[in-house]
Amino acid sequence: MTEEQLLAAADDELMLGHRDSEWTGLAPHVEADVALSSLAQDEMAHAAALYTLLSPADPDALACGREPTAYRHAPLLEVGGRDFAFSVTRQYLYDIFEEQRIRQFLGSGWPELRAIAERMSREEKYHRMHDRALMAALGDRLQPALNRAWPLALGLFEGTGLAEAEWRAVVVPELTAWGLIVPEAEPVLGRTQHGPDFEELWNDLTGLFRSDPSRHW
Amino acid sequence: MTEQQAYDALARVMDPEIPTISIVDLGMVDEVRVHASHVDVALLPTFLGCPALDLIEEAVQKAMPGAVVTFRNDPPWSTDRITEAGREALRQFGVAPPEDVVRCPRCGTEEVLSENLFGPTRCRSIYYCPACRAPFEAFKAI
Repeated sequence: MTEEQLLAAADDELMLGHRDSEWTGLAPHVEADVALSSLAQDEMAHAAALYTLLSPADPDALACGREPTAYRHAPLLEVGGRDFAFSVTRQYLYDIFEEQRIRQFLGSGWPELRAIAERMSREEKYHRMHDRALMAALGDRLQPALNRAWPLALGLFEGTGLAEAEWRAVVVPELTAWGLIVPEAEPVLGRTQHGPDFEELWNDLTGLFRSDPSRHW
Repeated sequence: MTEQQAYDALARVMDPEIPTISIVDLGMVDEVRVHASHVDVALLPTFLGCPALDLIEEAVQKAMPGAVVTFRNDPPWSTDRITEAGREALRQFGVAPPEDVVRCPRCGTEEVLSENLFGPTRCRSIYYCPACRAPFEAFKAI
């Protein structure tokens, strides 16, 4: 478990939390709106806990004070736009990946990280129950979203030391049972280089902080 | 001030979002140390990054002037730490306490429907009780 891997985890959570929060008030129905807003708060809180571990004196500066090239999230998490099916599919693929990552944290030699991971793990079980219920309900209508999200999801594993096969063993049978065809694709890598969606996200996410970095929020 | 007096003071500090339950009954108090000059209070946040922590810290300081409040994640808080009195206080507020089986806090039936695993705050889910013909919230079991 390296600091770089922990930073990647914190950045993943922050970007997903931000993207989920963009649905507040705009999701297709009110229950989805409540759920996505709550998911966003959870992911943001997990990010905050990890940034605090990495930089106890100034977690905000770590979260919002870096240049775009210094962020280490996977491309899956920066994708924006108003595609609800994509958001649902992304959340599921990511939350199963995260379950694996939390196990990695729980096995680390860092007691503070293990304590945070323990807490994350208890909250995340609600994410997976919710994700699975939505995926099952929407079924094969999610095929275009899955086709788009799949190669990006494969890119989650870059540099994490986690085994993609372990994740596939969970998601492939479930996706198949929901009537979806798992695409064949190469992973889209990019934890160190980000696309145009991130430029927009970064401006939105960090603009207020950068306007006065000395302020305590 | 004795340790008992400190706990009595903390028992009057209510959760800002569920004002019928104290932080003692929520199981948030991990350690109290009484010194000649002040009291150290170590609290366990219920949810990671819970936005109510600043309010709770202020309320503790109001109940016990000069108290030094710290938050720690180890040991991890869990809903198992909520006391029996705390569970009753949740029901009084209309929130089903965290249990393996969710029961309507009004009539007690287990015949309830899950409406949304998420709710108005991060710690609560939304259910519907057909017998009472009314929705209710349940504390997530974490």
